[in-house]
Amino acid sequence: MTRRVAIVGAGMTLFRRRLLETGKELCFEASRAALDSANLDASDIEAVVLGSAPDAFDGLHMKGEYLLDGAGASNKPYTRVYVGGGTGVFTPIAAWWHVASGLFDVCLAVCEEKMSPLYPHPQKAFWSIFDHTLERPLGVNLVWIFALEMRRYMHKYSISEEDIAQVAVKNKRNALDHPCAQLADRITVDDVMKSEPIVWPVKKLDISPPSDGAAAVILASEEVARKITKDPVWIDGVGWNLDSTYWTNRELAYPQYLENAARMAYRMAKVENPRKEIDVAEVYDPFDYKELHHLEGLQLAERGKAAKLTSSGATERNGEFPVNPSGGLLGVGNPIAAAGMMKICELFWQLRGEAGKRQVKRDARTGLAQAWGDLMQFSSVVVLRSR
Amino acid sequence: MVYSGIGISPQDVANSRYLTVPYSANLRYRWSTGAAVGRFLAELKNGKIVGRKCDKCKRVLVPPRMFCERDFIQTSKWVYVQDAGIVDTYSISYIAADASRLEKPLIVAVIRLDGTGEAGILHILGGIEPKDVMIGMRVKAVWKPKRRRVGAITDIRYFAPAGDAK
Amino acid sequence: MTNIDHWSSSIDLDYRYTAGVAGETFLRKIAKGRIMASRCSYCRLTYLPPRLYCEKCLRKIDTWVQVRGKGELYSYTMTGRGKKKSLYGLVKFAGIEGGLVGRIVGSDLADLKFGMPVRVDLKNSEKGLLVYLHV
Repeated sequence: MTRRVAIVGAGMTLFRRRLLETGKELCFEASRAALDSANLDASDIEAVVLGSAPDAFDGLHMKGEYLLDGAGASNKPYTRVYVGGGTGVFTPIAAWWHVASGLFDVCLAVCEEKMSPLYPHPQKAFWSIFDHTLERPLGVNLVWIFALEMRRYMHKYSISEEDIAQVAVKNKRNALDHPCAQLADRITVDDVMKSEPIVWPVKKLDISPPSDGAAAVILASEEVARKITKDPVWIDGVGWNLDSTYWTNRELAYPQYLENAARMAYRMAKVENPRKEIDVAEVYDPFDYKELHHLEGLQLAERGKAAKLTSSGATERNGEFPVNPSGGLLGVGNPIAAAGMMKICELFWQLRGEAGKRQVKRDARTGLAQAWGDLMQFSSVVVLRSR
Repeated sequence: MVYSGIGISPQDVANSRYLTVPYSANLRYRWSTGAAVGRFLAELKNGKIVGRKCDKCKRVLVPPRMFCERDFIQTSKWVYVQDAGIVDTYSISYIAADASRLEKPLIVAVIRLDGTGEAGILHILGGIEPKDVMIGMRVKAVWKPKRRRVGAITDIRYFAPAGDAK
Repeated sequence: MTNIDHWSSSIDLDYRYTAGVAGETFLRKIAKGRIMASRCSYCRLTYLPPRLYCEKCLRKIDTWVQVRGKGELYSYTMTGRGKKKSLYGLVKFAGIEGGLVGRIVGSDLADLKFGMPVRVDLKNSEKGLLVYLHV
């Protein structure tokens, strides 16, 4: 049997297109903020799990080992995990099993990404995730796969670009209240529609930006968590699931691997009716349509109906089912692994009533965070509860 | 809560306000293609598309692999598939791999080849204007001339509307 | 029919690394002829190259100290042969964690001894930090 595990502290850095701090320094700032929020010292941390996406961004091909002292992991049991964009929500899952297993009582989970070293633009590093023989010779770039998936999703469920653009409008507006946000803005659906086409149907304002940043949380076993804080946030369910890299061989309109991951997490958290039991969700939104796609895979909206849910206003911060009250990747920014961890931090603050101007109106006791990554093949899901 | 970070603006970069160290990684590779893709490329040079059949799920896998990743058994035989199929999804790329703008936008698509079941491949569409592309439309491979084929995915120049070809 | 047994291509990526918060100060001081280390007053550890934080207690460091005088040769090695021969060494300073790796100039392998005093000469260049060691 596993032990119950809680989050007891959280911290993050600003998210920006370029930060002066090195990757190590970003890890330090986020880790220090998390320690301070829980009134803990580095010596209280028994093990560290770090998440970071492709080494090609930082331009240092041993990133896990390079970053570890900034995460306070020198001479400690340490693991680096990597599942592309899904890393940010997978890192606390890996930290969870460190504690749930009984191996450790206190574990620090840190995510870092520094995309700006690639000059002039980080996009090219994504090229190296594609098949070298069959895909790269075609001149592929990362936005292709999103555009192909978005187009397929729109076709299958008769969803318009305008329907999708509502998500960018909502998330960038929510981010106005996030002190770390990189691309907070008050925009309209029309602004999204008129923004420069990148890979149609994806336009400039449909996409989250490349960013530098880091975020961290501290996990503790039940007994220790209750000593550290009176308001632990419990990790009651975790799930993850992968399909193969043969992304052209499957239906793109629906992420089955995400449904599998979600069902795993719901089973563990004893969530029977996710739409009724989840009060607030931080859903992975590197592109606006992904929020809709993921709500459906998570069983939080019926297939093809997430756009309607969005139009109804339900997913607004003050709505009945707030989605991405943080501002998401579209508004706060997308330092890949750190962006997923930012969602975990947001839920920690939301479920403790500490989200300030971003606090959702409804009484939120159960939250869900999700991230997604690699070649449209991976998802990680965490269910959190305040009691 | 303190949120640390010192942002560097585009002006800071232009004015070299902070010190930076440049580095260019030029990494050259020679990848083994393996048994399945090695044969696939050789067949492309001959103007044919070949897949591998899984006896359990009955799929013809394109790109071919020597094992079926779903059933985790060896695939049983080589099967030629048509160089024609339908557009499962498509998009129009205005940028190159390094995010620079393309002079002429590129239509990219996942094409489900006839005779494969559900296996699509990634390729380019040509001989058609972006506004005329539709999901579900039939397309057929337009090959490079035989003497210019080298055994690469680009031996197919693009897929074009099938019209009377099919 | 013969299989196409390999595929050749390259990955070409261009980078510009920032020096970071501690690195920026370190490099700026080098331009003024000074070698600076950072010191954690809590753990009483001094780091070279300097760091923004103490690796041991993970507290932020804001104390800077100048590294004065000569270091000692901690270890050394030789690369290449004949005219392409180069000597490299790791220099440490008393009471300071870490050290500097650089090229040993003006000496032969036979001249080198563990613990011998080394004068360090640092230069910022277009390609990054250059470290020259004089024994």
